[in-house]
Amino acid sequence: MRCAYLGPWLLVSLAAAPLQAQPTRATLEGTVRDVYGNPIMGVNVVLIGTLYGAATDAHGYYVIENVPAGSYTVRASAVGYVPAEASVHLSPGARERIDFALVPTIVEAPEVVVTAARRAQPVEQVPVSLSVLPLSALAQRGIATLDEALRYVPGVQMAGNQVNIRGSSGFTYNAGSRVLLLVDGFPMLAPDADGIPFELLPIAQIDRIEVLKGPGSALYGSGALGGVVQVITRDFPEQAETEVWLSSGAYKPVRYAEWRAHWDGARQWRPFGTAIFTHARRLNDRLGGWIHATYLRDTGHLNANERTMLQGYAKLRWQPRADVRVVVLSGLTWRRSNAFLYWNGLRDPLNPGRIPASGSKDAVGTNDTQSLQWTFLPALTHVLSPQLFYTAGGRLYALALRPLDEQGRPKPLSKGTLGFRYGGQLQFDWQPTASQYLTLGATADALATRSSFFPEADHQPFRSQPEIAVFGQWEQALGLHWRLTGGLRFDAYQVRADRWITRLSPKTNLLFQAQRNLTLHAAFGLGFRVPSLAERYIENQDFFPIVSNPDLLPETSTGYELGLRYRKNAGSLAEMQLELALFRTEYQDLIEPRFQRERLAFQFVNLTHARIQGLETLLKLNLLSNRFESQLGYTWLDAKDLTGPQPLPLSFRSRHLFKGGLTIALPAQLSTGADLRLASRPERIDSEFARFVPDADVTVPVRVLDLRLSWQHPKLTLTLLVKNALDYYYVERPALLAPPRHLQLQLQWRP
Amino acid sequence: MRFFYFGGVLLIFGLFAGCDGGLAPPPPSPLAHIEGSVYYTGPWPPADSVRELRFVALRFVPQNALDLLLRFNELVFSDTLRRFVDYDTFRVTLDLRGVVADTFYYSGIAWKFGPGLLDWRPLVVYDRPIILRPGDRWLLVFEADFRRPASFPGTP
Repeated sequence: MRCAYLGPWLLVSLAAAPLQAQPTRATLEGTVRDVYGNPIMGVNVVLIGTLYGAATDAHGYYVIENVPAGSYTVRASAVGYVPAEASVHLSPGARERIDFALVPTIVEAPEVVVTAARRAQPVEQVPVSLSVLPLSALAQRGIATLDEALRYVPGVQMAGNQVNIRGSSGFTYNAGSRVLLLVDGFPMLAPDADGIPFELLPIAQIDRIEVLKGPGSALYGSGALGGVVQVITRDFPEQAETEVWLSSGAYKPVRYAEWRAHWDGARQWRPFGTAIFTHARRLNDRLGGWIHATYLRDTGHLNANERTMLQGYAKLRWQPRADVRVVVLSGLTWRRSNAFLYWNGLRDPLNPGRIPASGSKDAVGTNDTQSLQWTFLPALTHVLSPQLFYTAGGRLYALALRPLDEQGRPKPLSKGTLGFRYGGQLQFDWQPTASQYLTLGATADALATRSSFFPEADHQPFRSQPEIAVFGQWEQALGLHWRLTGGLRFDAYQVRADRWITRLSPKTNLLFQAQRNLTLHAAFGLGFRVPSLAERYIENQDFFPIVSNPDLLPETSTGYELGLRYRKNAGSLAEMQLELALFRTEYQDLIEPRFQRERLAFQFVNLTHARIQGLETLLKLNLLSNRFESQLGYTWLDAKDLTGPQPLPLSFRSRHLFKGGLTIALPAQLSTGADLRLASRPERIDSEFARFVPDADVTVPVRVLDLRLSWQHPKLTLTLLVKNALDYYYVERPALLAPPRHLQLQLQWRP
Repeated sequence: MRFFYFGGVLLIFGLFAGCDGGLAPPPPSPLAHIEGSVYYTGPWPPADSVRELRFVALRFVPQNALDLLLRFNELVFSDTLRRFVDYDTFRVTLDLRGVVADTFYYSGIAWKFGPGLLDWRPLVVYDRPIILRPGDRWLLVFEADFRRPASFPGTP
């Protein structure tokens, strides 16, 4: 009886076996070349409406494997070329081929950016000012950290480790950042003082840095008071890649005998170096990623200003289905450093100073610490239909910071800082028609920090600051030429058990495409920044006399901008891009440190009402098939402090900023270039600091020239850099001498 | 091509031809300064108990008020400070011509509380050495409270 049933079943099974073994998925491959037949590397080839895609290799070849059978539209796009599309039907098991020939132009193929509107969109459609710094620009300039990179962005000025976008930040003694840092869309300010952690990310794994200029809280919440720095990390390539970067250099001895007399180290070349290893590969048709290791050692150009860093990072991308993608970015950074806080006056600027006060000990101008940071950023993207997808992500940023004793040994963590920033966000993107786009989302985050700088409250060692937000944005194309965007975000921050701070941040943008190569835009947006835990609770006498102020209010900003973008392409002979922006931002309740006589210490207080308005221009010129590339950026700032009865210049802002860059291709695979940074002397600085630190009120204009010479071979790039070639001595922020001339030799090897 | 290259280089260096080297040490000076602020946090005593206030820096550690008199040539002092104010500033200038360095082991705000020659006492002190070289500028900050005045090291 049993055999009677088994026989037919076996027959059916055997008959079905070939059917089951038949592949249900297909492969698409091909090449992408320019109209002259030259292969193009790095072209994104995607199946529209899915997460399937690939990038072309050095031969212009791409392959997209394991694609479910069906009909697709394939799109190939790259910077500098008109995107091309083709339709394809993939049968089960088929291996189809589509070759593309892209037409070069800069008019119709803008760079793709994501910052401005929380979604990928062509730069031509971004209705606010934005600067993009690609990895190639970072590598070319031997840049090792994010703050170094930002020094090359037009309109951006660094004040020590504080980022000023169009004068937004000034200098607030390193507590709280008025510019938000995003890593692949996730806010990543440090949990100890809400500052930007410039060494958090491996620079070699950054695809590009986007700098959004102007208040951006309508999409990103607190911190985006003056702008947003968005770091996009690299994806893995189709072909396995290994890369080794070795960079070494030294600071020139100081030229003044009087300064050398106070520190022997200033008589010698002071070395620094970086070693980077990266490996990226596809592990199978669904999984790939990269690993990265960095070792950095810098003996510093100042006494007690050394740092050593070890960093390991990994990014994995897993695509279990055509419509689902999981990306995990995680890294560990160990750092040991002496932070030079303020000098010992202009007669002795190479040594840290101290503030003698009638207490048990003097405050000292250097802070020696050892820190360990761990970041974990998982994100899931699920395409529900060609018009709708969502992204869910989380973030964790843990920091353990221990001060060092006189012998350089780490003190217990109870003497330092332990902080966690964690949370998650969910975002839906819906494009019902080609002319409409809706973004909706919610975030929930928390900050929990225990620090010897923050006194305990109610026996709770951790200070916390949870936050929740919902946001939405609607984009609507109005006819062929107009595009209107409206956004709104609601934020709620718990600053005490019984107190929440809430903010409603709207934004409106209008874009008008006057011609194919000319767009005009108008933007309005609000920004705010909730005071950091450090600003509210810090109590310290060791480095600087400072006391807490738990009742600080958020800073707010209202920004307006009118802008123009124009691109002109005269074939391969000349390409030109011109950007012009008029901007005005009103700031209220800016938090500044003020000396409180009754407390004999500084305290952060809501003090300043300010207005910053100005003009920014950017001209990019590429000549002779990119053999000559130049970029000139100029920013004029009118920054006024409106707190008192009479307007005064706003502290620490330069009226004129200029950034210029030049790269020239030479014969024999050589290229040379120069970058020039100029900033006028700030018209006013905070004189209270100078009451305690000698010559802290001394400033000069910034005039920095960097030179470079590269030799490029398919597997090897050698670059010689001379930074601050004029050996010009200056300060970016009070009482801290910027690096003198330093030489750097960099080798990039791709075996 | 060469035109662009050399033109660019010439432009950049031309731009900087007239530039200085930025920050530099101040011109040499034989003078050194001790400067600072004193902040008064408590109530002021009656006027006849605060007859005079001065910043004083001593090259020795005094045991009592008599030391100030006996070793008068080993101390420097500021002008009289203002009374009945929230804070005041002081400045002492020394001529260190031909001297490598000068050291002051004890300094502070001296308070004359009575009419007598020896009616002086420290109000607030800075008891770490101040080492001054020609050209130096030493900044000090004091927090003074008449309810909790300092005392001479030799005073029990």
